[in-house]
Amino acid sequence: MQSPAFLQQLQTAVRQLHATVETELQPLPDAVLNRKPRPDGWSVLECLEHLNRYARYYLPALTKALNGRPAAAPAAEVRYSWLGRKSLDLVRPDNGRQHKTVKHMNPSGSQLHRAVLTEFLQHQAELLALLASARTTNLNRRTVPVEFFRLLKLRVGETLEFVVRHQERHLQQVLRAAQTAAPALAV
Amino acid sequence: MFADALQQVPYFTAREIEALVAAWNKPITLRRGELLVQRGQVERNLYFVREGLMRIYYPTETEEICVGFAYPPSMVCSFPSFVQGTASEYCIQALRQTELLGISKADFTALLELLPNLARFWREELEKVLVGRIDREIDLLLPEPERRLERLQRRSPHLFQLVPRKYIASYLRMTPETLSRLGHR
Repeated sequence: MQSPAFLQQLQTAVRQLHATVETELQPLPDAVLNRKPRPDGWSVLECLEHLNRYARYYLPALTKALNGRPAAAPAAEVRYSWLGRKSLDLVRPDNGRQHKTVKHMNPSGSQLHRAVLTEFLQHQAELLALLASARTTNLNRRTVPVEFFRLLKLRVGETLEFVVRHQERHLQQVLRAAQTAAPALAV
Repeated sequence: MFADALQQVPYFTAREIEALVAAWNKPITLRRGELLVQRGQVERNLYFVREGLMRIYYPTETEEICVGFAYPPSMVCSFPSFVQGTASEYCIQALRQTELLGISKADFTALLELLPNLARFWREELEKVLVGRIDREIDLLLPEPERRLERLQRRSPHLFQLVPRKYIASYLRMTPETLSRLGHR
């Protein structure tokens, strides 16, 4: 895909994510945000905290990659590395397979508050700014160290796409977890 | 919120939901610490919790024993008093600002006659409550605090996110110190 169209597509997706959290999740009571759909499943806040933890690593890494060097001439066509394709394949929202989460990215059981929502929205704003500044860069430069093994590097473009698709994947999970349950009698 | 919750019951029709929403019409807001039901009071309403958190407790001279919690989308009342029309032995207190919708017992009973699906729903809720009570009885009969904790974590993991520790400790019949020593996650 051509770079401008690629970035445009990601921007639209991020705006959509922002709007979903603002309109669908922020009005929900704490009890619903914290409810686990299954004992071993993640609540709304746990899903978003998982994404926040990724963002806390990848957004600064992307900022560094985009600012690090004088802007190279933008490449017309976005291309993928083997590792990039592999990573994207794992987080595609339509990939129904479950993955095991590395321990430090697994928020299950931590004490979480509504601030998780605010942080997620801030990350979306930062991500939009990154996508805007990526217009003048070559998206095929291989400069972003992979979170779980930093000797491996991803290309700028595929990392941006990875972050967005990963978020989309978990937002689907979030919306399932956020469905109001039927009333239950407490005595 | 109430209508959304009712919509999750697969057999309620749109007209039944409309009738329930119209009848469940007494809004109440409680500030943190306020009591919905006092000991000695007769419970004449059934409430739906739209927002907030409540604890149901049995007051004794030395402590207030937590017996249950209510949070959205719970329905709550002082059950023995509601059913038997006797004075409540329990108190129900808002632990945070809480918003409720109430229906009187008379209106609720009339609706149960009128709407067979509501009667079905009520019977299913009573069955779940009974199963919950049997589980809870086993909890309380287990002498090891860690087993009581483990059973609660399995049954209601969300409680640990919602309810302050000291109330969970009371509910599990252990001191807050024991609860934190057991290092619940």
